[in-house]
Amino acid sequence: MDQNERIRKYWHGQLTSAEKQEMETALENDEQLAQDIKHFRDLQLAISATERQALKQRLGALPVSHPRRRLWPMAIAASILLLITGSWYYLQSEVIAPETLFATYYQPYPNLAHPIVRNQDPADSLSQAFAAYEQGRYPEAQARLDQLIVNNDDPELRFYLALSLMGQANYTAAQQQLDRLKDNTFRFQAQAWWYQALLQLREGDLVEARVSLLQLQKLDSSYKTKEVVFLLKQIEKQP
Amino acid sequence: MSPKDKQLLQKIRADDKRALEEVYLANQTDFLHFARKQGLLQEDALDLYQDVVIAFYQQVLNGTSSITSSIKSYLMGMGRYKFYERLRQQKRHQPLPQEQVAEVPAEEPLALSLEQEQLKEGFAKLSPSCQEVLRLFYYRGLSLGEIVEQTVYENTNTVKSHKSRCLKRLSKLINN
Repeated sequence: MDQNERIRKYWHGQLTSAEKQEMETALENDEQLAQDIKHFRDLQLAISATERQALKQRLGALPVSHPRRRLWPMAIAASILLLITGSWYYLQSEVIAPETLFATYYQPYPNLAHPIVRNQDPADSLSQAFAAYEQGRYPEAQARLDQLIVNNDDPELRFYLALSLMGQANYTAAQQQLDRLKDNTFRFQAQAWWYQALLQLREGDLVEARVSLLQLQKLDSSYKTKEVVFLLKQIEKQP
Repeated sequence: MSPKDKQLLQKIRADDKRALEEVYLANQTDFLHFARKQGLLQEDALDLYQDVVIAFYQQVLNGTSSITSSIKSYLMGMGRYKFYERLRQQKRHQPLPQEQVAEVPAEEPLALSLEQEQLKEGFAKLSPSCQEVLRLFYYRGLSLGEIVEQTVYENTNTVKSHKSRCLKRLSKLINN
């Protein structure tokens, strides 16, 4: 790698930890390298200051809002309360179509399996898979997780594979993956039942959805407690 | 984080200044309301708000921001931090209330050294194309390949030689 390129990556935190270590060891004895880094830093800070000035000018030219005294906070709060209470009664009393329940409750699950370090290019394929998942690049996440599962059939990987499929609206395949997790004990078992129940609701498979929700309750009664109770009531009300 | 915030951050990472203006305008009223409650005059409040938004922009651009909730709460957190920092510098106040600045690694811009000031002056005298290539490489931290992708340069060799010429020109401007 060209020296300038190395310094750029070093300064912007883009070196791998091994490369960084190597750079810092070299720095102890190489005066020229230390000088080059200082020059890089000086120029970077000089340009950064120029940028700040330009941005300040640009923002200063934008219109200014004049905050007024907030005269109606209580009125607004009361309206919101009314709206929430009204919606709650509406939701409690109305029968909501299963596919609407799915649309209301489905949200992608965050990456809690493999934290991604910011400012570092994910080096290994596991990190690349989860970086893709975090960024919503579900087809890439799916492809990488698929490959990883070939060598390591880890339930957590399969759970995120199912979620990557859900992210692409490939619900049938997602359900197949979740089905394969039913007999596994793992960290996201309750979550797997939750997503399974949502998919079953979407399909209109109310009996199965109810079983999944009851399994989830049995497994971890603290996960999505209110939502589970609400969905069970909704299932009972369905014609 | 809302999809809207995600979209704005993505645009800012690509150096889209219109997205920055959108963020600036969208959060201005709330920020000024907060500043007014702290007893700041409108002019000082605006100055503070602009510094906060610029610091936010530079953090997002160089990948050092740590936004976990929303752009608005990040800006408000930074605002509180900078506000108390300024008070502290004026020796009118008090330790920083940590619970109010949980998410914020805001850094005050460093004062430039003499050498950096000279570089800044020299940089301002360079041609727009030189300013741009140096800005992309040193400030935004793009590789030569990424610069080719974002500009009209044909290949990395062209960028490299242009950058080298610009650095020589800058050095000449400073030494004169």
